[in-house]
Amino acid sequence: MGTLKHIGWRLANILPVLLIVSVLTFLIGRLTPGDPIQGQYARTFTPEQIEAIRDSYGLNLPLWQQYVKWVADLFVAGGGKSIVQDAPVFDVLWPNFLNTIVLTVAGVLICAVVGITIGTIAGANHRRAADRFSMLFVQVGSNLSVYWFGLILIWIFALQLKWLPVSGMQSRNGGGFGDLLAHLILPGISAALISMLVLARFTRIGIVQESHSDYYKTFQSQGAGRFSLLGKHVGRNILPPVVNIIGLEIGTLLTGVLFVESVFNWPGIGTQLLNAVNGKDYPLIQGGVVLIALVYLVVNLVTDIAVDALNPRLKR
Amino acid sequence: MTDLDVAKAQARAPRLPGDRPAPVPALEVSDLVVEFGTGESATRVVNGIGFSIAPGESFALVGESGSGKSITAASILGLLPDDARIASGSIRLGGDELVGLGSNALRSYRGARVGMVFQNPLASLDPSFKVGNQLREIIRIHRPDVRRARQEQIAREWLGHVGIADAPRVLAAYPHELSGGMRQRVMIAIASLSQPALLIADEPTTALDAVIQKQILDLLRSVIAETGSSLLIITHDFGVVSYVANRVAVMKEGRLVEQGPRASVLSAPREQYTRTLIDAVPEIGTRFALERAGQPRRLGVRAGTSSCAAPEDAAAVAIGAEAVSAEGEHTASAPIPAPPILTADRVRKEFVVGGIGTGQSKRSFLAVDEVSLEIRRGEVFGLIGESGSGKSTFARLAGGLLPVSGGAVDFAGAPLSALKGRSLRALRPRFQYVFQDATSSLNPRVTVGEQIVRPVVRFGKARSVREGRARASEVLDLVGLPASYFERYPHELSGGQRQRIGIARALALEPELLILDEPTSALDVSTQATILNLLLDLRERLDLTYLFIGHNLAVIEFVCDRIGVLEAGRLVDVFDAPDLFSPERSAVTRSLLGAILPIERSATTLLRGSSADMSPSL
Repeated sequence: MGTLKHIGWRLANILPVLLIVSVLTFLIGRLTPGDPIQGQYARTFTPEQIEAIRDSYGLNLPLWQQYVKWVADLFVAGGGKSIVQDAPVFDVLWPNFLNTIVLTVAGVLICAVVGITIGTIAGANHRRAADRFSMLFVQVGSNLSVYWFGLILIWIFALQLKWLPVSGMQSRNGGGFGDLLAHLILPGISAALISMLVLARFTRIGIVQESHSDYYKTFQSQGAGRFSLLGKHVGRNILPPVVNIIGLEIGTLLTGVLFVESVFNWPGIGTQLLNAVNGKDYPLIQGGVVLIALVYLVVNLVTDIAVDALNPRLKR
Repeated sequence: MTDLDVAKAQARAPRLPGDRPAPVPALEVSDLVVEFGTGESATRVVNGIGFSIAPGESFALVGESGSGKSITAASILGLLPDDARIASGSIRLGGDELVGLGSNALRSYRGARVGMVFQNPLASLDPSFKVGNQLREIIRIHRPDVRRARQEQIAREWLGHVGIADAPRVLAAYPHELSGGMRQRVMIAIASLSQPALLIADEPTTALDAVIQKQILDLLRSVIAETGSSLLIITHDFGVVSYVANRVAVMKEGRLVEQGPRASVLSAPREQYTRTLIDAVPEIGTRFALERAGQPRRLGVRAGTSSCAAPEDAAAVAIGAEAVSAEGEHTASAPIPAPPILTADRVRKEFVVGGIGTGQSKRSFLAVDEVSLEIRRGEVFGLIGESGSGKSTFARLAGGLLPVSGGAVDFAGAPLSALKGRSLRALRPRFQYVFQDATSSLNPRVTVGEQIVRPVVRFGKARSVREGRARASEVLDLVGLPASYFERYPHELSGGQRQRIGIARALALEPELLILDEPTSALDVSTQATILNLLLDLRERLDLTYLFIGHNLAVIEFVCDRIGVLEAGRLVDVFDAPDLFSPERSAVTRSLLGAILPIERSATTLLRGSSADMSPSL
């Protein structure tokens, strides 16, 4: 019962955050300098035509009314109409948003698997060669930029070795799931790199700390094997911080994905938003920001619930 | 025949060489050298020690922190820290050589032949698994063939053996749901369920209350009597030695200073160092014996000896010498009608836990329940109780660190508990705190001198930083530390020295009242003695009043003029120290009295003057 109540409480906590996010997103669109209708097309319009366009998009209403209308549009009108593409914002964004999610999920999986593996190898061999080597890799890797790293990956694996495709999401002649995977590897690794190394550090530190804990000594003194010590006791006790870090890093990773998309020409929401910013397409920018904010909120919510579920002190 | 009788019989009947083939010792350590680091920079923490433990024997390895006693224990099962290693020597367990074995070979001895109980029961169980799960895992290691139902049964039996009546509840509980004493019982069950030939207990009761300590020691005695194990107990407290050990070895700086049967080491130690450790244990009645002998009330100051210094820091020597030369002590225990400096009137403190956002239902419990008492100017008032009795909460209420839920605290006529903000702040320099954990009550990144200066300047006790520094070196001198310590960081100091800094920081503000919240509970017995002596000394020199919180009645009785006893938040007893044995004392007081572990000296001790009166029959 307590657990359900707890989840309910976490859900309730999201409401004020949503309100703040929506207000900020709305204001970003309205308070930035520049006007979509004063761009290059505007020269061909008469002032009356411009007024008419402003009226049809509600740009002449008081700010609070624009906000209310905007929020209502999010629910009923697919986030309003994109100024440039003349279609509901979410209809425009949705396919690309899904592509972004695909890349993000791939990045998170790579981040979790490789990060935890590196961290475990380093932590379990604390102060030995494997640890020093892994940490050197982590040190160097943490200083790479996503752009540069992505380009280097393309050069090595796509151009020189020709193992993997250069960019895009699909081969020109289509292809199934395997084709998608092949396209996912390089952008996935680029997007995951930094978060993966952060996770590796935390995993390593967690293992080192737990290996020096008193309960570790208890089970060690009772003849427990290294596998059970690391796998059961250490593993279970570093799980909450590791889950927490992964949750936090998904946010970082998502930001990285938006950049990686442009390097790998991935048809995601990042590319689209970049264009929208250039075209001052407010509704599209706002819709994109809202979608990304929702991803953050859901990830945080799931992380919080998972960490709570892993804490024995919150049981019963 | 009880386990105690067994132990006594074993102590009484030494095996004569040639009598019959000597049985293989349970543990035989010889010429053991343990080093940290390698090559040139290696430091020896254990330097060629040797001892042997006969089957069924209880052997105590005694020493101060840093003496290498815990490292010795850890080296037996190859559980040394990463950077430490056995450089040479031999460890034979029931005839099998353990030094040089690989970790896989050693693993077959761990738990099966040697069980270990560690110091901190709060951390020695895995916090993420239920107790039952952890017990079953260990049973599985030792008996891989038994089924789950049988594992469950064995676990329940063993919890019964260690005196846990409601085994099903404990098995289904997470460690954090059990008290420290309960967890130590579980640990003892874990360590002994394979009925190992040797049980190693590394300071098993140091983290526990006096009352629980005695229960745990009783349990260890009965468990080894039942399983026939030998016991290697690591401790710094000769009270513990006296209570459980047949034989004793005293360790100092990696070497064995002396070893022998308990009775002879306790009553006629050959080494001065051993004597210092023994004399550092506060015992009921010591103060009155010293009074009668015309000696100042200091630990370790016995008729005919002038040394009260623990070897840990030379500063204590100076203080001891001063104490001896000080003119006759005024008898503070005589009821001088002094005005009260602190008055608590029906003080209550309620803590509320749970509620919105925690996922737990809201509930409250009463930590301090209608406590009324008066601390008179110039006296040392002792407040004693088991952990959870509300004594530390009361200490916080007394100094306005926590708001009261009801009642009132007056300090020197000012309504302390009703004051807020500026007016409370103005009062603060007049009462100061010294906390139990000297390490965490100092900022690790600021020099200790700076930590003394800051509050002095902040409270306007010094007009400039330079004046504050002058004040700091004064108080460093008061607590027996050289002024050069000003520039040191807390981690460069020993535990005792850190506590001296804690005291110096409090004294720098020239308070009238010191609230001492278990100031010596985290310290070695010998360091405790130097700190207690220092506190007694300072009180005389500076006309201080102390509120002294503790859980060890022997310490409280030695230091305090009047004693209050707390139980579950209620003040159940208040009495003058000399009236401790009065029949009116409450059951709680009597149980605290029963928890004291006196040092049982043999008749020869009587020749050593005043100490004859120090071990009253309990």
